[in-house]
Amino acid sequence: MSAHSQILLTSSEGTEFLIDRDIADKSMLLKCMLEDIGEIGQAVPLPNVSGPILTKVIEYCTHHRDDPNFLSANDDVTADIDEWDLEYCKVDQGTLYELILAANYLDIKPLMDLTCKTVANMIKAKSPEEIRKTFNITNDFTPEEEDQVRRENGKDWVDEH
Amino acid sequence: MKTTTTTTKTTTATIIALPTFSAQQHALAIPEILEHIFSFLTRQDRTRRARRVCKRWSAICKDPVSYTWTLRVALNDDDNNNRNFYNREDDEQTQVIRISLADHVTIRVDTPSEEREISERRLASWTRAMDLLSKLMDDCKSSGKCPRLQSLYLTAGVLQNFVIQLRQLPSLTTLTTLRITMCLHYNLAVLFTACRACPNIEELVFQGTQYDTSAYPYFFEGPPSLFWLEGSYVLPTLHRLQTCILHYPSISVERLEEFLQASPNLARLVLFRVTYTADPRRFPTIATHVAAHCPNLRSFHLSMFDGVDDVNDRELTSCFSVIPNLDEFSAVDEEFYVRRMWFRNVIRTVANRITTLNILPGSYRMMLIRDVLCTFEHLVHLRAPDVSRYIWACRGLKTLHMTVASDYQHSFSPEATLTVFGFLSRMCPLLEELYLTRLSMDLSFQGGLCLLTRLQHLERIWFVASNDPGLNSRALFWIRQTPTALSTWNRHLTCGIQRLWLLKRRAKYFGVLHPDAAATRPNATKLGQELGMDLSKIGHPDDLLEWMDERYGRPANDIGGDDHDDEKDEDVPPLAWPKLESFWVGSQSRHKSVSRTEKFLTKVRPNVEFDLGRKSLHPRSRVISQLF
Repeated sequence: MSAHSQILLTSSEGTEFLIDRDIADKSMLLKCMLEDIGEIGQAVPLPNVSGPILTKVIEYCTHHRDDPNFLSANDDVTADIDEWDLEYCKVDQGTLYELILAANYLDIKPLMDLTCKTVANMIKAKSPEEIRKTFNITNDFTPEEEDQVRRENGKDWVDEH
Repeated sequence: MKTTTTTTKTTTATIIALPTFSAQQHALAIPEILEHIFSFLTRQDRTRRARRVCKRWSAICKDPVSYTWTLRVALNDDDNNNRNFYNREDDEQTQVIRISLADHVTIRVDTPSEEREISERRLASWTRAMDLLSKLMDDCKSSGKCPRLQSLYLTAGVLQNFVIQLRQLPSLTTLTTLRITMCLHYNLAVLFTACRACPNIEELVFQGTQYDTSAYPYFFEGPPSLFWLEGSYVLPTLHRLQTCILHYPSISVERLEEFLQASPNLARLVLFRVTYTADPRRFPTIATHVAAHCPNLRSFHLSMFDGVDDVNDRELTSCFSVIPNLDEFSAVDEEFYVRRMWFRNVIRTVANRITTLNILPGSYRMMLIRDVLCTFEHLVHLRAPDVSRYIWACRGLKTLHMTVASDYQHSFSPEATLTVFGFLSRMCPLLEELYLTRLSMDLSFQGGLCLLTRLQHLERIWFVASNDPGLNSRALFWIRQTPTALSTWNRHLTCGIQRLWLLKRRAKYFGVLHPDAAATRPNATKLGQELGMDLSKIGHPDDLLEWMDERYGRPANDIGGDDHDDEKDEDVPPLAWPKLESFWVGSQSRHKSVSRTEKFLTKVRPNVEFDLGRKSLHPRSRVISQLF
């Protein structure tokens, strides 16, 4: 397998992207596929990923191209997000979720961790009502159920051993 | 991933059509993605925030059924006296299964002793326990499962040889809470060893046992200071650490700085009775370090082992000016006296910000701090569980912990309780949490516990008394939504006797009383007028009558027959304490009637946790463990 071989990807709109093999290998989906069927010289269709999102994903993989800890970086789940990644995630919410979907589909664990961590940060320090607003969720609890959940969580009030 | 691939091109089309809304909905609809997102939240965020958003989120974040397992560090397997302890009966395999199912593990010692021989055997037992834990963690790792263990509690006496023992802790990556009951003056480096084993720790509590002599360590390898010289001070960054509570630690400059640097998200830091080994004249003080490293603190307590004067006002002021969200202040009661000028001087910057105030029992106990309290305008939570006098409620409080006149002889009379409940019921309309201690408590109907139903927001009620508070199902008839009989006759029966007694007493003193005195209005009435409420009935049985009228409506017909009952059915009074979660009564002895009363209450209010025979701890350690 030569390091310089290139792969052609097709986004959902049919736009073609030519990327280096080592970048494509960051995606477990592409890596397994290429290993299984070999390089076929044909474009790989990615019907679930749109052009702008694929550009963004490639940007991420290119930046982390020579990152030796690319796959093991997720061991420390609590580590802070580094500066470039932080800047990378400064996108509108729609793009962020599409990135999550793309990372999930293409199976790029570090990108998945990064984007999910960004979403998790949006949950922190918010009240349940604010969270609902942020995530467009309707409250389907009845007042009694809400009370029940609150009660279950409030058990650690005074911990007497 | 499978979910994504199975969704067909139609979904893709919608994504393009409605990018923001749909991508979000689509992503959050996949349970694996949602779970992955939640895995980056702390347990607290998961249970307190995410779980309350909607049913789906609730189901995903729900902690599995919590299970606590107690592991005993036993003396010896061959020891016949050891029959009662669980460990003996279980073989190792059973133990591994039991611990692997537990979310919370408590480790206790069987018999506390300082003898060297016993200490050695216990150490061997500890080693076995740690091997067990470590084996369990390895099993989980190799099978790709996530261990369940969330909290570990090491009780007093377990860590007699902590220098050796803590090093044996296996790597516990899922642990979020570590609670240790330790001896005095442990070096902060002890903490490092524990933290290295638990990198995802969220809550770290080292409780001191000043009153438990059995917990003084028996060292095998010389004093810890020497030992730690060869030890490692490397500390991983504890991103999740939010709460750190240390009682009686011994702190040096370097360790403190390293520790604070490694815990950037600390929100609550309690350094209770610290021994600071550095010379404060040459090195920056603890408060200065904290101000420099902990920008996210919301609650900070610092007190010195030998006195309060060591923490000077200027440093404390600088803490408050540097840390933007600090809104909780805890101090020993005499400190309020020492610092009264500080409170007055910096009131504009500090006192206005403080919403939570904890007052710890000190040596004075009787300090007049009422005027200090008045300077905290926005106080919401006041916890002074062992400051016996001069603490009274103020409006706007949501939490109130206090002791009432524990040393007064008259606290045995029912009116005394009636006064307290009557006063609270009018003074603190927003109260959510009430903790009340007094020598004697009357929780029968005459004692006026029912008056507290005026406080509609109450969630937690906790009483501690040393007498039998007289709680029985008959006295609690009012807690039912539709009490059986509440006729005029009942009204007079319940309150009349007391009223009669009061009238009798008045009649007795009638001749003695100065005519002017009879005409003057009591102080309470005047005070109440100033506050805009009626305090005149406080402490009188009339208050109970008024409460009945508020709650059940004044009966139109005095001699009520069947018609009357019908009317009552239509107009059901509101549930007493609709938000109530727990109701505890702590008393030194558990009376026989207690379980019957509990049964009754649980039937009436199935969702409330009732515990009427709660064992009370040593007053002082209880107070401290309650505050921190």
